[in-house]
Amino acid sequence: LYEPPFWGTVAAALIVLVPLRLPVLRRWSLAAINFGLLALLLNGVQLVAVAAAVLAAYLLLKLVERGRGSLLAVGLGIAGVLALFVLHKLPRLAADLGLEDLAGVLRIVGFSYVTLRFIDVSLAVWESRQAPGLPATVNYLLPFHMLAAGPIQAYNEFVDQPSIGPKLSISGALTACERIAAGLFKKYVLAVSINDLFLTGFRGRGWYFLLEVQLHYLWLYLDFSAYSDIAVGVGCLLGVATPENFNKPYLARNMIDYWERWHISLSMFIRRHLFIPVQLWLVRRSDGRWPLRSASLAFLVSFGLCGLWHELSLRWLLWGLIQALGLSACTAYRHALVRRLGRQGVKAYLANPWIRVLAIVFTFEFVAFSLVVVRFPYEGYLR
Amino acid sequence: MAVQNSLWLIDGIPWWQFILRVLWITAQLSLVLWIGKRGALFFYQGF
Repeated sequence: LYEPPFWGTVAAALIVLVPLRLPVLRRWSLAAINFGLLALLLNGVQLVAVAAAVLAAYLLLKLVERGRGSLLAVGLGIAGVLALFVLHKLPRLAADLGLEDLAGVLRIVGFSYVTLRFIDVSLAVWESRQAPGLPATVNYLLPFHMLAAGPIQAYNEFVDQPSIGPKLSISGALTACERIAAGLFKKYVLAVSINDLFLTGFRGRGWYFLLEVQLHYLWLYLDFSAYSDIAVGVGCLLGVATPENFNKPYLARNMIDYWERWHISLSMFIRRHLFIPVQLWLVRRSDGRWPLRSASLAFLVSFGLCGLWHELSLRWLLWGLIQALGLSACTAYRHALVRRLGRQGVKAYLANPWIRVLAIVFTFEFVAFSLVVVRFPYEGYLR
Repeated sequence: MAVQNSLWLIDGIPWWQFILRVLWITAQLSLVLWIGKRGALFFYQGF
């Protein structure tokens, strides 16, 4: 997506949005720009279909705002979006149904992310009874600079951002440009070089396999965080709030810490809409007798689904279950530590630099090896 | 002091730091364009 149409849209957005200080005009202009990028990527019929879908989402959210039958509206909306999500994730099914064109549109708009944004806005409107206007619906669901790989901005955060940010200063522009340049450098120089020079899709043997496990994790971080660097940089230039998605994930000292540093917007979504509701439900059902078991089961459900969100496949489900295992083990270890050492003892334990380094290395390796599960060439081994 | 500042500072940043940062951005983007165009493998084989 980071090709001429994208950079053309960035340039157009800069020219239009930077001098524009009137909130209503800014909202509509940004919506036009968001649609502008899609207009460059889609044909006429596809563009009309996307416009109709956004209009439908807008009307549905208005219905939710009114209150009567809102549960039904939210349910129907989310069910419809999930059906499209399944089509998006199973292109062969889409082809069998003769819906290749639709699948093409879903791919271009980054429908995995749109799905999560739609769920977030539906539930937020259901709770707050305040639906977005038409331009805000477009700007929330299809933000052009977050289309390719997120982040997934929380709707409540989107609403809370000031309608006009501070004026773009020279030093602000410089920092934003540095961020974009660093993102492009990470993606097109470092990540591309690591991928082309070292990664074999885990076909190497012996020590090379172990080396590739490390390099693959390094490559993934450089490639993925680069997207969010570019998105945040563009957002800063345009005065459009864009959440950070990474916070030094290699320094995570356990899996809970890791998920607060890696793909932050996704893990916050999981926490809000999957982990906390499931855990609360389980705790209530068991009268709070098995907090550890409830947390583990909630991790299992939420990260199992998180794996399937990445791809509807067994390998990604397995990846999700491994994440859940790591998170559950971390929670259990924490409980055991508190029981054995007491609160003060745990403080001293956490402050110990050797334990810290060991924990960081262990977490790094756990994540690196868990990623092998999704990229390993099973074809040669399974019949 | 304020007048002197305005001579040596660009929006709160010393001019030499400003130029260094612009050069750093340019260097990164030049490499991106160069490698992006030729491909990383070609870049490696070129050596």
